[in-house]
Amino acid sequence: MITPLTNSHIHIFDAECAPKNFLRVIPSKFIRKNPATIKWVLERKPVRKFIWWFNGKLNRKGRKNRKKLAKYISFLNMATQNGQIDIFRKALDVAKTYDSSARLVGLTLDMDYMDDNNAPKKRFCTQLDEVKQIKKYYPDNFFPFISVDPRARSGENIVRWIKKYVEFGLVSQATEKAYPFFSGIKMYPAHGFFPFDPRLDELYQYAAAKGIPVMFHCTRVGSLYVGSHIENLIPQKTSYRTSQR
Amino acid sequence: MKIIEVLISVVLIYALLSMLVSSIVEMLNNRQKSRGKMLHSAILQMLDDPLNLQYGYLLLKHPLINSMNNQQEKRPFQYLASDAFADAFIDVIGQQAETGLPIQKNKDGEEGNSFTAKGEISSDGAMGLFRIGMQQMNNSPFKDMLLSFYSKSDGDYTRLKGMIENWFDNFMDRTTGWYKRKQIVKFRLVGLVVAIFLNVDSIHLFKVISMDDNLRSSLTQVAEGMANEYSPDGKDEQTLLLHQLTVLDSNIQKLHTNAADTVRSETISKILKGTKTLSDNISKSDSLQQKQLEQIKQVLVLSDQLGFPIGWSKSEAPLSWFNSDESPKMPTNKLGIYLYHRNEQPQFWTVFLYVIGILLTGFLLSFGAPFWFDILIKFVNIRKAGQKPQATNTSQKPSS
Repeated sequence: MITPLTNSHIHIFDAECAPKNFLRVIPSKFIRKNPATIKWVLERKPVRKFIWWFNGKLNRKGRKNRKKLAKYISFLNMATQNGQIDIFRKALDVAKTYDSSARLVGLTLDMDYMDDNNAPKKRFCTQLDEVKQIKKYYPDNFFPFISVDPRARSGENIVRWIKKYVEFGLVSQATEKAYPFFSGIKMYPAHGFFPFDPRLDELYQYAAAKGIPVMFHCTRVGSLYVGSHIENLIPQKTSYRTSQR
Repeated sequence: MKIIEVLISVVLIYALLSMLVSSIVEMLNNRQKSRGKMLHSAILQMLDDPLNLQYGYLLLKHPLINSMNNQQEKRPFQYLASDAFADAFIDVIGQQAETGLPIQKNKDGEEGNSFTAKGEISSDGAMGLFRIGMQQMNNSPFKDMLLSFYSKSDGDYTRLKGMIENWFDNFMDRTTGWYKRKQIVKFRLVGLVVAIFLNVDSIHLFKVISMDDNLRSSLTQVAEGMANEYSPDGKDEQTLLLHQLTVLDSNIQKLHTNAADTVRSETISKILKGTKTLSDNISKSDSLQQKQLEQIKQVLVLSDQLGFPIGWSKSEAPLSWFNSDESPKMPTNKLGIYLYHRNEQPQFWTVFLYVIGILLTGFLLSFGAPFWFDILIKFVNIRKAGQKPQATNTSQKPSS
């Protein structure tokens, strides 16, 4: 049996799922001082068009920079102008150009605790519900993972909560295969908790017993805690100088 | 009587220019999708339950509601019927009852990493699903409200739907009020921009109209003709604006039977050229914006035809204050003397009154065309009531 093309890491959350200080994930002092204002400004389409045009004028020979900017602009365009299902459909359309049975693993992000004071406009429960609907429409192509944050619920409460997403599901009408709504668990310790947080013990035991995959975000870039003391929390390399006596 | 005629003339000008402000604001709202965004934001607020789910997002994604969006232009719907809302809302609450099928993972070796579904999906009706969905919610004021609807409905879908429709209609009435309050700022800004761009100074207008008998007489004539034909009852906003334009146009054309094709004011001529460029940039398929642009052009042309002081010119204030050309000779008539002092010999109070006049125009234009049309009708009626009946011929004897 040929395994279909599988993209094991996509995100389909839209701009409303992110807190207003989300742009603090970008390692820039200027952006980290005014993340909410910059996010608001970048969500305006004319602004993005202007940035694209201005960069084109400045960047005559540097095609590499233009590609990077194009990536970020298209990311913003996608997140601000489309809902989760539209983002997923676009990703699936691209994947299907390679393989009509392509599968996409969508990683949800619980961003409710990512910022210390500001929850996103669209809370995580809403993000999950929308993702669950997408699974119902595309059971053979979409395999979402559910994000867990011990600050939302802990211990046995996590297990009770997660059961309705991983122990219940649907049967695909096309292939008659059964699938749970969510295929695995995704964790983002960079959002502000430790992977060895004791509140997660019951979850790990449950996942091990049921054979549910658990994925962890480990890279330095991407999503991380964006609260007001972000600079204190990010470990940095320091250079040590010997004092002169 | 003269003061009434001056007021009628000034109000007519405000009515005309307010239509320009309204058209511009509507065009801006259309481009910014203001109505649709406001409606969406109101629905999100109405259905947000912090202790449960954000039902507003789920409702907006419901196929019945989502299909109303203009997907091609990414334009949110601007109107939602209460019955569509109620049907979709009952579904959204009922969806909470849909837990799906219990899924069991097959043992390794059996068909790989696969699952088996057990059981069947329950087939409760809409009311059953609504009841179960509601019961599964965490206790919250929102849930209490739904329980209240459900208990009063006695299990009848139509009654439940009716209560939800009423709730939606009441909330939309409040939303309309919020929208109108938000629009006031826009109207004021656009009013000020129009006042500045067209250089319409209210204080100057008042003075010119009170001194220029011909201008006052022609404006009053237009206003009276318009008052006879104006009938706003039962018309929605768009239709009313169109009706106002039509009656104004027909009465102004009666006045200018030999109206020249060229526009008198240089400012208006330049603005009309600008609107042509804008029209070329607007998509031909966007008929609403094209229509709004046509209305703006029509109002500008009518403003020019009415002949009141409008637009920028080097021989008129405030540009004449910086014009180093030789001043013309001071006229001898009252209006000419006033204009001479204003244009050629500005003092502190001239400048101060000019600024106040522009700000006043901007503020007054923000009241909107329906307001000024109503005031105009009242003034015309007052004038008609105060007019002496035409004298009869005393030499005629009554027939026996």
